[in-house]
This record gives sequence, C-alpha cells and structure tokens, in this order.
Amino acid sequence: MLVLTRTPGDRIRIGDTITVTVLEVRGDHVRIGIDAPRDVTVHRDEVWVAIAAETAAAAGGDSDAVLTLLRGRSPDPDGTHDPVDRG
Amino acid sequence: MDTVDLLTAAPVAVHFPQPMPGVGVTDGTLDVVDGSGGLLWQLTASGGPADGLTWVCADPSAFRPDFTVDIDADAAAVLGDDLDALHVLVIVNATDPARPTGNYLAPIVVNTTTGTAMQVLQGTGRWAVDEPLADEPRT
Repeated sequence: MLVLTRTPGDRIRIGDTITVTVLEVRGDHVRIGIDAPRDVTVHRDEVWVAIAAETAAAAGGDSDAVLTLLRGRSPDPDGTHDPVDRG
Repeated sequence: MDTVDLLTAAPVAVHFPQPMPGVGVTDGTLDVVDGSGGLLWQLTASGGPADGLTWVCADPSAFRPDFTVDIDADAAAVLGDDLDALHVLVIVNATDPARPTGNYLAPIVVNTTTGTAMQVLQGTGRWAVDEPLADEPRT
C-alpha cells in the first residue's frame, strides 16, 4: 500500500482522471473530496462491501418464491404509484 | 427521444457505465418474468467475469408503495435528466424463499430511452441492502 502524508487542502492524483482532496481534519475524522469520471463508482468501503456481498448472494435467484409473494398481494392496483421522486 | 415501455420492449439491453459493485457487471439484458405482469424481471449479465449470471429484480411499487428513489445530481449526470424515462427495480435475494429480501439501499434505475442503468445509492440508514422485499401484507 502506498502511504502518503497530506495536510488539509492537499490533493492526491490517481491516474489522469481522479483527484482526492483532503478537505478537513478534525480529531479522528478526515473529510475528503473526490473528483472522478462518471464511469468510476465511489462508495464508502462499508457500503460497497455490503452492496457487493448482497448482489453476489442474490445471483442465480429463483423467481418462484417472489412470484408467490407477488400473487398474495394487491400490487398498485391503480398503477399510479411512481417510485421515482420527481421533486 | 420517445420513452420506451419496458414491458413492450422486453428483452431490453442495459449498460451500466459504473459497473455493479462487486460483480463488475457493465452490460446485460432485462427480461420480464413470465406471469409477473411486468413486476418481476430477470437481469442477465453479458460479458465480463459475471457473464451469464442472473438476478431476479422486482418493481418496488408492487411490494413497498412507500419506497421512492432519490436521483441526485451525480446519478442524473449518468442517467439523464428525463425523469419520465426512468424505471426502478430492486435486486431480490430469495435465498430464504419464505423471506425474500430486496436491495432497497441501491436500487437499479434504468433509463428506458437509452438503456443506461445504474445502482443509485439511497441515503444510508433509510433503507438496507437486505430489506424485507415486501412490507406487511395488506388485508
């Protein structure tokens, strides 16, 4: 692992397109800013790990159980619910 | 461009500019699950290390009518700003068939016009990756 010492305001470049900026150090908390291209996913590590583990566990799933659950419900009978928050 | 009705257009090719975390899926196909009325979908990865892997995805409105997706500026930059073109799905984990869960923390949002898709992270603490797929059954 590459280890660098930086102070607030300093930046780190990763390749040609990613910049990490140390914004603030307060106690044991560090605020950082990340500029990355749109095709680069940026997540907190614990969030990335949780999503990755769940996606891997869900792979190859059978739809039968979900179909059974679906048939026991009355899903959006009017077709009016819109899950996208359009503000 | 006209908005595409997923059910009519299925199977639909989708592209993830940001690979799905952990599995590296960048391309795939969405096809409706027979008998689901367009509320369940199968995502099949194509290409890359996850080639051929499948996931069951659900329309959240069928299971959690209170679920809404926040499209922040970063997500809009990827998916486009035509909110009418966006279709939301959650990945289902039915490892326990009696208690399927849905990844409501990172739903898949598909731009039905362009086929661009993205797992859009919702505010942590609000939803989990293994949320019970459905809220309490309606009586």
